[in-house]
Amino acid sequence: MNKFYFLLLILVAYFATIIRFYLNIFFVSFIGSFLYGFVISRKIKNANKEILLFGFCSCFTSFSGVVNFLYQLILKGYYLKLFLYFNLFIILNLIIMYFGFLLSRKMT
Amino acid sequence: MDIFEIIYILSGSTIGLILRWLIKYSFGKKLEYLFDHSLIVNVLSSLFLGIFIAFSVNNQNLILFFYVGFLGCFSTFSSFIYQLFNLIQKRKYLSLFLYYTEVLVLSLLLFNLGYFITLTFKN
Repeated sequence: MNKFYFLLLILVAYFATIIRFYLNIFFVSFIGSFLYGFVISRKIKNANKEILLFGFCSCFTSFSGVVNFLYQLILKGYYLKLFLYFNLFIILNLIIMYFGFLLSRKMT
Repeated sequence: MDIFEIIYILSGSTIGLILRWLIKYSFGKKLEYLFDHSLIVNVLSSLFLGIFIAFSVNNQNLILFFYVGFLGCFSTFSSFIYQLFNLIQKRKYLSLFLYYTEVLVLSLLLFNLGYFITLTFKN
């Protein structure tokens, strides 16, 4: 593991964190899923893939933001809504990831 | 956003990134797909979030450091979605269901555990 690689990883993660601050949690997870799906079917070097997936996508999306959103629903007592929203949100994210996957397959 | 707020966010995200890195590479490939590193990371971050919310912090800088910086970089939603996607691709539908239920139940359980334990010991 060389220093340059680690520095690049941290810089990419900083960039992702700063952008995430300005955006909505749903928007962030949709973009993150799309990019993840786009990158996994590309044939690029393993180290670059690691930087894009581990550094950018993982720092860009945040699970704790989603849990915080679920907690707001629990506070209001909407338990059925919580279950529905979470399932719908996961399915939407999966579809968007698949869409990114297909798009990047088409481009090669 | 001024320069100090950026410094708070970035220092939190550095700690989160390095912790996640350590968790991923210290366990290595010993973990199965039903118990991989993104599960550990997400469940731990739910626990931390529960503890953090129970303290009801008003300090804006601490929120930026811990919630936006640390927890945002430590937890990862896209790896969780990728695990589900991967299981669909391999057509392991039972594992998909198990993994999904595992993450949902464990994260909400540990969130509430952290929340109520902190509330009990705070007063």
